Parts: sequence; structure tokens; C-alpha cells
Amino acid sequence: MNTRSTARDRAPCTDPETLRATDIDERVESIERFLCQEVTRALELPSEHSVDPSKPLHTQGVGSIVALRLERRIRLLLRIDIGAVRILRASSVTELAALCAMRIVDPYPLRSDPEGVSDSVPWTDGGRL
Amino acid sequence: MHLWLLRQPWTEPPGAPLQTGELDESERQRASAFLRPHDRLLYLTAHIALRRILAAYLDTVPGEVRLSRTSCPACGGLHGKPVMVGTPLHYSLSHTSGLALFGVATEPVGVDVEVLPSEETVEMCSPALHPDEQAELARYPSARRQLPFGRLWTRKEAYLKGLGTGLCRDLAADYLGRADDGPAPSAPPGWVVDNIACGSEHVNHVAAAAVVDGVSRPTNARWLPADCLYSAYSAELLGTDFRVGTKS
Repeated sequence: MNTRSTARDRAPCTDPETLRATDIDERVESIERFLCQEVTRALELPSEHSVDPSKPLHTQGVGSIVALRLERRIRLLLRIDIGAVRILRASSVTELAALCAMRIVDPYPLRSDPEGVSDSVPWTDGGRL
Repeated sequence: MHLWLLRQPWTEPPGAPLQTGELDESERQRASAFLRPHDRLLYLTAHIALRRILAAYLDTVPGEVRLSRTSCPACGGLHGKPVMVGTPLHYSLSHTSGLALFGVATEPVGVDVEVLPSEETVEMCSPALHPDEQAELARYPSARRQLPFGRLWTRKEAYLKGLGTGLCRDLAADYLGRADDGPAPSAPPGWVVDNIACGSEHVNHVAAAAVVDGVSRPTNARWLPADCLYSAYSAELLGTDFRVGTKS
């Protein structure tokens, strides 16, 4: 039996201090896995429907309430402010992870962060962007 | 204001293809981006129905309805509020798994429909709301907050869509609660915002509509017939007399 665990199997690191100390690639990868896990849990996806990190979240069933939930989780665990509309607007989960990875370098950039609003799209069809 | 509800099909019936030819290129691209067939079908059915509803009001054909976006209130990009070009009518669309809700009015309108969120999601999202809204939700045991949260959330999102800001606006900025358990929920000045019944078959859905105060509004939404997604277009499919500028 193969007991080696891959990076994807491990629980992602969400500690801001630890993430700040890691190189950018590892930071993005860890945040990407965190985001995918959060979306899987929020949407209650069955195991055969994994989140595709190369695609936007709004094409994977994420609507306004789940985007807000994700915003709150990012704020709580990573201590950064990424608006729900920015989350929905990201062209992929990887891009969103990269944005988080860059913002996390600045300690506690919480409200009111004007950039968190200015680069976002405000509109959803309710359920979806 | 007129409100329409559509019960969304779970599969595309064989031999009765959806009328996707009425959609524009942008809508077709958006539809093809969805990963799961079910999500794609929901988007397609909502947008086919939307065009057929609007075409009936405008006395045209669905493919001729010109949809656009206003500029984003935050960044100025052309991805703000959805609008119709060349008509004074306003519309709003919302869709979620199982249902789509449409609002059409002579003044700005916003609608929202959602599946009830999980207890965990309610707990995570409530702190983002207006302090008085949070206090009202806290009166319920945590296991019974899903429905009041869903009703409140849909009122808030419908209002923000009607206002034209969408989720760019701080969710704590406006109070849309139900102070003192009064007969109607509160709404910001100049607006009427209330929940819409989704029918006894959809007890896990919540919906709301927001419209400028003074515009007459229905108590309930009308149901669209499923045929309106598959048949050749005719305004009669919707079963009502439509005219441009209908006093809604």
C-alpha cells in the first residue's frame, strides 16, 4: 500500500505567519487547496465533483451567499479582505489564490481596503454571477 | 411590477431542444463555461425564458431583445446592472438550483431567489449584516435561523440589485430586517422590498423583490409554463397580454 501523501492530500496551511514565511509558489498552492476545500464543503459537493482550480468559481456553482461565506472564511483564517464580488470575478481559483498570497504579505490589511472593491464586479444573477 | 417564476427542468427532454438560438453570443459563451451540465441547463433555461418574457413586453422576438450592462459603480467597467437597450422598461433576473425569478417594471427593480443556506453558512455570513439584522437573527435558536436568514438575504440582495450597486455595497449599510415583527419588512427610503412566495413545492427556496416605492406590485409571482422553453416563440405562450410601457 502506498502510504506516501501528496501535497494535495495534506491539510492546507492557513496560518498567515507561516504562509508569509513560505515562498510564493508554495503559498499560492496552499491557499488554492484551502479555497477548493472550502468551496467543496460550502456546496456540499460529492467526492466525484472536485473543484477545478483552473476555472472561475461562478462557473462551478458558487453564488452570492457562498461567495460571502468564502469572504468571511478568508478574512477569519488568512486575515485579509477579499470582497465577495472579487471572489466571483476571479478568472480561476488559482488567480484568487495568487491574489490572496500577495495580499497576505501585508499584515492585517482589513477594512477598509479600497482595492478590494474597486477591482470587483458587483453583479450576480442572484444565484450566480 | 410584474413577477414571473420558472420551475427549472433537471434534464433537457429528448426530442424537445431548448431554444438556444435566441440567445446572443455572450450568453452562449457564458453557458458553455459552466462545468456541470446541471448548472449550464439552469443558466440556459433562465436566459431563454428571460428573452421570451422581455420580447412579449416589447412586442418583438426574443433574439431581437438587446441586453447590456451599465458601468460598474466601483470600477466603471461594463459589467454593472443588466439593462435592456432602447426601452424604458427595467428587469431583474435571479436563478438558483430549481427556480428562476424574473421582475419587469417601469422603474428600477431587483429580484433574488436562493436555496436555503446551511446552518453553518448562516453562522459564517450573519456577522456581515447590519447590526440590527444580526440582533433579529440572534433571537432564533441557531438551528432555526436558516429561513429568517434566507428571507432577509434575498430582500437585501434584491434591494442591492434594484439600487444598481449589487454586492459592491457594504452589506451592513442598509437595514432590511423586520423590526418588531411587523406586517411588512423594513426597506430603505424610497423602496418597497418584500419576500415572494415560491409555492408549496419549493419549501427550500426563498425569494424577494425590490421596487421603487409607488410602483404597484403583485402579491405573488406568476408561473411560466414549461412549454415556453421549447416551443416556437409566441407571446401567447405566456398567457397574458403584453404591451410596451405596461403600467406595472
